[in-house]
Amino acid sequence: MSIISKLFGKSPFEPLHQHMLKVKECVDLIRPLVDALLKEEDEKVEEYAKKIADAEHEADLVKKEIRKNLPKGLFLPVARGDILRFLKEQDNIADSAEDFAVLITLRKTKLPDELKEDLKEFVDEVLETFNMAVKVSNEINILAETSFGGAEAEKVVDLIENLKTKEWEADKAQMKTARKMFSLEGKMDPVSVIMWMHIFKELGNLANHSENAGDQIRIMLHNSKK
Amino acid sequence: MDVSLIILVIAVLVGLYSAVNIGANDVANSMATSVASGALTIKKAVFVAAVFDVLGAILVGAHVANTIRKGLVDPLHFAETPNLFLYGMLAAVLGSAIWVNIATYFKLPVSTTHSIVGGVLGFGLVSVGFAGIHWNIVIYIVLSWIISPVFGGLVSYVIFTIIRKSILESRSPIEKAKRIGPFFVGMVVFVLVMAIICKGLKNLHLDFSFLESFFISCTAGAAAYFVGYILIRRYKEKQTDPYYQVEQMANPLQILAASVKAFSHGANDVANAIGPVAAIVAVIRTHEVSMQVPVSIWLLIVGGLGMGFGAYIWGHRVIETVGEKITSITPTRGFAAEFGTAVSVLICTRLGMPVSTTHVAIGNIIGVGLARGVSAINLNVMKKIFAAWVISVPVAGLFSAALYGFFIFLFGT
Repeated sequence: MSIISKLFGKSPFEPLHQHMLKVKECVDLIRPLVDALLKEEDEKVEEYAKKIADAEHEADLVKKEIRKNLPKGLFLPVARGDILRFLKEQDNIADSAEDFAVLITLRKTKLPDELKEDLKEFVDEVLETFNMAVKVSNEINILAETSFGGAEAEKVVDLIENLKTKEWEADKAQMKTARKMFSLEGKMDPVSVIMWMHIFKELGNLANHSENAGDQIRIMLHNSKK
Repeated sequence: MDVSLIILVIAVLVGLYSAVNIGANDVANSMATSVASGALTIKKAVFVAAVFDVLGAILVGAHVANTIRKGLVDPLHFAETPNLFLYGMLAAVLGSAIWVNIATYFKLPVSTTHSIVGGVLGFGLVSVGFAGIHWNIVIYIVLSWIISPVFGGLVSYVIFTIIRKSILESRSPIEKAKRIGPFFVGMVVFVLVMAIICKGLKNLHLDFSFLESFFISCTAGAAAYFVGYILIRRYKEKQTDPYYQVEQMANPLQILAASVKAFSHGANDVANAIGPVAAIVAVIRTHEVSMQVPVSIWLLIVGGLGMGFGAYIWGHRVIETVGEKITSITPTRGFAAEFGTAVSVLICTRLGMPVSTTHVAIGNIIGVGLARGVSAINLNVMKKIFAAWVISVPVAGLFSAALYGFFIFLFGT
């Protein structure tokens, strides 16, 4: 094998995008799961939760493969640490999706009818935030092509700004839903209240990690300007 | 039959053997960038390498041959015993060729240039001893091994930074590529023509002064600019990813740079095979060891064709190497890397420095990487390269010294 072909390592950027696609498979199952939950179709809920766990596992495998191909001696256009932290945040999104599904299947926690619309809205905001993060991740190959600078970098920074605004909307939706739940606390049993708080928090985390992933890309862009 | 005639025949055969080995061993390294970026298929890459290797060897090849032949070991030490000089040069070229062959068998990435320098040093040390070696020239050569990749890397860094700042970072990359592309075409042709005709086309007996060659090269470069301008204007913008289109547009440019790189490889590395052979031929013709003997054109042709042949038959090895790996290099990067290599190697050849094309090529890839052009460069490979760099000189030297002793035993002094 030619020494120069060996010198070219595997580019980590396309695999990072592949990892995001796996994470997306996982997160895309949240809406059908919530729909089934609201219709109280327990079997379907179980089924979707299982699918989410499988997809999360697949994302983990992609993550491990990327880490394996990023040895210390690799010379990259952006800091290796930035890439690994971005991967970690991207993977955290899938973890949150799985934890959310697990919390829902742990206990048959009923949601008062008054909260159903709010939960739906909250889920919408979270998923929109996530989809903004996917948009950012879609650009990573072009970012590598343009050496993380110039007009393309500016475009990605704009996308990240939108992502951050969306995450804030998701935060507001979470607060609104939680407030409404506490206004109904007299009608609910305390264990249910605790469970829903945990579930809301996990959904909120999904949006947070989406934002962090975007931030991590911004750090790459910022560091490469120097 | 005369011993010297036997030695002459053996020398030419060994030189040819060495040339085939060099062509074979280096084709993968000199073409890997083009194949990795997808600019050339393997078949085309091998063909380009073979053709331009031959051209480079014949048109520019003589300068380095002089340095290897007479620079390292002072031929005056052999004024009384020209036969010893014959055996020595034969031992040097055969020893280094055997080492390169063994290394190729074990897939060790060695430099053919370093091997031949080691070979000449090896026989020099056992024949005329420590004091008979021109150590200032040895240091000059070793320094060139360090300077050439750094210089090439710098050229590649600058070229890629220009591409990045002016094309890739702009809002209309395709428009910019159309404007700047022809300039690069002109630059490549300028360097190529300059390398061929500067200081006179010695091998073709045409003599131009520096200024004359400069003007001829400028004219050729300008002509190439206009050809490039006309060709690139015909490119119709598509509605797909503009950066992908820029890479497509850079494809022919990289092929051009790869050709010049193969040309510079031929110019520089032909000396490794035929430098010592030229010395042997000269001694046998004149029956004395002199300082000034021209490297005859037919030897350059034999060496060039040998390298071209070696490159051609070895093409299949490249097929194994690249495979379906996700490439971290694209034509714009490949162009920057290969153009830098070609410039650096051609300048070194002109100055009579026998540099390693492989090492310069690696310096250039690092240069593009430093300009944030390559998605991933595996620096662990550098350790191996360094080890090969260190090991080639002494091992080829040992082989050469042993063969020298063997020849004396066989033919007598």
